[in-house]
Amino acid sequence: MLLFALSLFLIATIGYAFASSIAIYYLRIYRPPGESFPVFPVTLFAVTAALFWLLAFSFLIRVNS
Amino acid sequence: MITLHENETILAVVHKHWFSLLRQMVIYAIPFLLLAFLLFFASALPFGLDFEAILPFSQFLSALTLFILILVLFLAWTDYYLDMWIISNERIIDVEQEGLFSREVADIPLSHVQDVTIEITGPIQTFLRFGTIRIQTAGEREFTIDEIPELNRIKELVLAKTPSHDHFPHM
Repeated sequence: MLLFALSLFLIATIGYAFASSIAIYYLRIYRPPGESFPVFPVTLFAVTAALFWLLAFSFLIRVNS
Repeated sequence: MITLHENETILAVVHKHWFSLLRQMVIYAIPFLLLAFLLFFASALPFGLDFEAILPFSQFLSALTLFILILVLFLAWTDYYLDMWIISNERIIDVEQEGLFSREVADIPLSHVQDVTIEITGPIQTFLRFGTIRIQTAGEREFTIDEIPELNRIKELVLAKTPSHDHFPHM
């Protein structure tokens, strides 16, 4: 069960990193002309995601093998 | 990347009303939150499973579901932010972001605009003051953008630069 949980965790982490990287790249190059990069919303989402990632990790290490 | 012409200046950048984003986020969030709730309390369900063994795993799945939900909401917000109308002194640039890997950009020269119609339907649009703008061009093409705020301001901005307004500015 631990191996399965770890696999899910890695897939979710890699998927999140990939999708969010592409989204941030698009926000950099396709944002409206004259507007600066939307730091606050991106940071808010990143911090919230990090909190849930840490929460998932804390439960993961308690999963029995 | 939007490239402006020489002497072209941007008059307004219009995004959809925040209610459009909120509705989309709620639609995405409900199934994920339900799933997370069920997974978190799965160990309490009377299916004959070992309570102590299943609890950490179901809690882990619940947290992972919420983690994925944040990604989904971020992508929904990115899609909302990159959908825009850019109104310049020469044209309207209609940018439609469709998912992560698809993007459509259309130019509407203001010199081709013949008619601008605004529509506000329903109590939500009425109270939150957003609606639809339809632009008719000389080539009988119609461009529509739904759920945008400040309809009258946008309409006046567009009409101020059309050829008919130059001839009849007070109409």
